[in-house]
Amino acid sequence: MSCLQTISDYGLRSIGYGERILPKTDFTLCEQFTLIGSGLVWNVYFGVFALLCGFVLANAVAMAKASHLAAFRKPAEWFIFVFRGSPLFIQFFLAYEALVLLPRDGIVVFGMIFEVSWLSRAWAGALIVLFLNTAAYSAEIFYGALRSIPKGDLEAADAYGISGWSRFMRIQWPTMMRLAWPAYTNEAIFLFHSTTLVFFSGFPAFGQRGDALYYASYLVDKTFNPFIPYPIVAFYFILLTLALIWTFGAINRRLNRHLPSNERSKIKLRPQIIR
Amino acid sequence: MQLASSEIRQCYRSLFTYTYTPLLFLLGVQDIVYWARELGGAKTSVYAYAHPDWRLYYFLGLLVFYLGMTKLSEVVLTRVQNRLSLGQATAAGEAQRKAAA
Repeated sequence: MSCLQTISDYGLRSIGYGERILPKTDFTLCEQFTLIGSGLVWNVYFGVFALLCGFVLANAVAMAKASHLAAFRKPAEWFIFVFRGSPLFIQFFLAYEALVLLPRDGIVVFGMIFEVSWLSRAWAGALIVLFLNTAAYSAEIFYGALRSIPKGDLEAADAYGISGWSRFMRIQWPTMMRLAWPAYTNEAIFLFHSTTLVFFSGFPAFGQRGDALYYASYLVDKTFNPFIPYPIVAFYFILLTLALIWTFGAINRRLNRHLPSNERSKIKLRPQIIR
Repeated sequence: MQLASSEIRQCYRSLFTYTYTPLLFLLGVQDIVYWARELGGAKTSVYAYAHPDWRLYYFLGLLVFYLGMTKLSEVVLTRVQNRLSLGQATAAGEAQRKAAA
């Protein structure tokens, strides 16, 4: 079987296209790269959507946490505390245990039946967990940046009579983004890495449609050789991380474009081992 | 004639499907039969231990422990954070100055 044939058979295996039976013996390097790469589709899906939705929620939560009103501040503090304070593995497990308790026939509201069984599937349930998790972490990053906005910027805004929403949009938010961006880049990288936990705690992979680490562990189970599939996963994730750093670096350059070149902050990788 | 492994697999599969088509296939529950045959009939559950499933209680205990640790570190780090932003020309330092005045 040629490598191109393998790629056309297994390239989209993780989303249900191509061959249904996974290879069982005589694994070639091509098969391993193709299967693990097909699983990477799920990692990218979880990462991208959790990041996009989480960014919006994180801004809202950071604003709420910086609010003077306890009615906004307390829920934001609790949200951040719960999601930052517990391991992601446990969050996945508990979310799955809770989501499978939902009634199978759907929930009836005013005579309309709402299907809820899809919530216990990984594509929705795990995405919600990752979304809330990254929102909590990013909210704390944004909140910290909000606290370190230079006093002079705010005084200048007052002097010009800029206040309220326009002060937030024109003065606070851009500076907050600029200050938070290097830390937020790290958060994005760790979010992509933590997408590998999805199929390891709770959420089952129906029809053997899993992510990169799922296929890697399948291959390790079959070949008893962890030294090939896991480095392949690492290789793919290094590529993914490089792409992320490049994208976020471009955004960082745009956010800092008004500063003289010696004051710009560069993006550095600071590994966070346990989350 | 030398057959490629995919062709052999294809042959086996068509042989199987046409000779021993299980009833469930005809009823349209093809996927169950398919995955049952794939994974082996005996392995019905991911969880197979002699004792009941304690994972929920174990993880809830761990959750409480981790939340406690987080609370502890948050208390300490908030003190450090407030101490560090004292007198700084930032929004936080300004808020502290205004609160004190």
